[in-house]
Amino acid sequence: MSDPLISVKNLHTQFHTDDGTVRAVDGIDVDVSRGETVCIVGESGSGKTVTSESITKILQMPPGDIPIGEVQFRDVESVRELADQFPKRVFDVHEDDAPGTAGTDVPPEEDRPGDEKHFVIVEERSGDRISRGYIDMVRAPDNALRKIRGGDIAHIFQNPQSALNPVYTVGWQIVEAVQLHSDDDDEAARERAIDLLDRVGIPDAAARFDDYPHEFSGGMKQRVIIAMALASNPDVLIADEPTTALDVTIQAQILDLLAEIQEDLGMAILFITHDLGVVAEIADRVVVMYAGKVMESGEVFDLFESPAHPYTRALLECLPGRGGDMVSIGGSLPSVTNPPDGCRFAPRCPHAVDDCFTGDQPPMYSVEGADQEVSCVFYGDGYDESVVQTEFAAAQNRTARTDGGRTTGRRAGTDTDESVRSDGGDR
Amino acid sequence: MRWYVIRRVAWAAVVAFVILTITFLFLEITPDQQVAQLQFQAAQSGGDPEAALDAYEQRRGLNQPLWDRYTEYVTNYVQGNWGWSDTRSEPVLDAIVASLPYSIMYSAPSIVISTVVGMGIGLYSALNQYTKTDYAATFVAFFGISIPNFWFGIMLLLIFGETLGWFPIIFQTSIADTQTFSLANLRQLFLPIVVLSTGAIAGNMRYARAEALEYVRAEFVKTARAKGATGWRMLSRHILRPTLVPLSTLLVGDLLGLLLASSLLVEVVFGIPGVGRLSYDAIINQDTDLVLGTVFIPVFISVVGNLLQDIAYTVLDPRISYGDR
Repeated sequence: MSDPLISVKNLHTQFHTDDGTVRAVDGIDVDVSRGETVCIVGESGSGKTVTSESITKILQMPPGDIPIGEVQFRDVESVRELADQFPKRVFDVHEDDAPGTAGTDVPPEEDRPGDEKHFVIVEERSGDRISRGYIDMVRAPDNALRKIRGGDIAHIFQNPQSALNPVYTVGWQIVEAVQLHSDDDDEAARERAIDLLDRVGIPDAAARFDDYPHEFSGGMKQRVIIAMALASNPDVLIADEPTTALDVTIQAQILDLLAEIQEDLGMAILFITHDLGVVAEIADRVVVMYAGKVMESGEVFDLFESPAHPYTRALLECLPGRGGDMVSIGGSLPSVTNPPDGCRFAPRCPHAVDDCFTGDQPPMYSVEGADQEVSCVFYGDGYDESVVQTEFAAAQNRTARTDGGRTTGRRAGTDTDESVRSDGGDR
Repeated sequence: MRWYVIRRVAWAAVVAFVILTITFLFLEITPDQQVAQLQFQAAQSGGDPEAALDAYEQRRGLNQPLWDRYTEYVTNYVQGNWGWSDTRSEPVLDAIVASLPYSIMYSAPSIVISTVVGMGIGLYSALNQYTKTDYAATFVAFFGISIPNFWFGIMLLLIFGETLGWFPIIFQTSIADTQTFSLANLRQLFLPIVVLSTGAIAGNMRYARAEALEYVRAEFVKTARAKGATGWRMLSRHILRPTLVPLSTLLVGDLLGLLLASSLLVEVVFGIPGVGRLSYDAIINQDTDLVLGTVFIPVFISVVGNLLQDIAYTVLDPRISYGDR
């Protein structure tokens, strides 16, 4: 099966606040296939976490809202199960031979099949059985999602200190996760929970079953949370910076544990991080996010070997201990309530040209000779991509020198978003 | 756990003892109105004011040493001998015991209603923050907090008692005594319960909303959602349960507020012969022993309430250890 297990398509997640609509995620595509590890990287505020929480819609809605986009979850078992459970909300793509499909006379919004109430999309049937299809997580109601959350797609979070409920024992919390997705009685669930605690490396698991979260260290809590996530053998584990709050020695242990579990259970991992060192260690594919948009995505070796987007280059050069000059990217993230025209990174990009400040974010161009896609005008027609394939730091210095007297709009690091936007508009 | 409770109880006894001592000292330095009156009368009728004072002190045992009077006072209180009410011509404790049921009749339902309804609305409000229902609940809460109880009581009496005639205006103790659990009794207690509850519901609601909001946004609630918990399980297990820890502090304040300040006003307005009314009459008539007795009730409630609260804490929040305190 070549279809990815999770496909995020043109996802827009917004937060309605008093200061306007925050476009935290503004049209991104991410695919995760069975068994692979996909890393989403980007600096703080780039929309990584919101992306991960949009997939199972565990973010607060309202104020969160997903007005556009689709999150396809292609697990045939789940599709069949939910199709039985919500027969009226199934949409058959081959509507002619689908008996009893409601609402086919309604024109589909955009190019999505079915209308707002259809969230189980059936693409192929062999006989009576559904053989290909997906669940649109964005349209799915809470009572359908509750089976998938924790059951098929599990989460682990950044801060283990606050991710466990302080008033219940860790055993209780794992048993809850087990029983939410199985018919296990208390005794069986308890045994399963102890097995899980043992599996994630909690010493003397049976004795620690009745301990409260505050009796565990940070690393141990993260193990407990991982145990909870594994309660019903999920297909996908979404890990949102699971090692950020832990010290370095524990980080390595947790990463090893995740790798080990992935190998055992064959689950896919969507890993959110800002740590490129971690990415290099665990990722199969990488998605680089910036200000709610995807800058670049690709196979991990290609991306590290030949970073295509100036932002990716900049990120890699920010990594300490690589021998060369360590730099910081000047400037800061653009406003997310009122993002600038053109490429989101243009205001901080030393290579930016006029085209970078107009229109929308450039489309994803394939990079020749590599398993990589990049959203940069230099990879489009009429541009020479080798221009941006220089060292970011060097380019930054060069631009600073040669452009010293020019408008500062394109020079990285010296402008506020406002002035950049008005500069861009004037040109 | 048992040791912790024992220590807490012992501590509560110490607190009660300290309060008794302080009130004794206050009484000692307060000028006695009755002495002044007796001396005035004696002087008017040509007698010796000093002799009248001696006779008075002799009769009351005030001529004994301070220490003896103090020990006797404490012993009497511990033994349940709380003094003699001059205005009612009965022991203070009897007067209190006689009036307590009337107070409990409306305050107990009021506490239950305000706790359940207040927390319920508060939780609902927190889960539906910034929706129309949340705004409506907030409006009701501010109404309840802002409106003075005695005025609200009078208005309710005027509208529902006088104009509409739905509820009786005069509280009949005979109904309350003979048919405590009857519709007729409920009818005459309805308005006092409403008046007392509005304020308390409002307070509870605001607290519950604020506390629950903190937990609605908590990381562990997100964890629970990611596990697949929804609906009632989410609400009761993952939001309400941790919220109970800070909310348990409200309990004592509730009991105190109801039995002390509000009940006095409500009982006066509705003519209920409860503890509040007893206390009010005692103060007006300068019946010192009775004033003291009625003041001790809220004092002891707060001591016991704090004790219960400390115990509730250790039961509700596993992070609070009761080992080393």
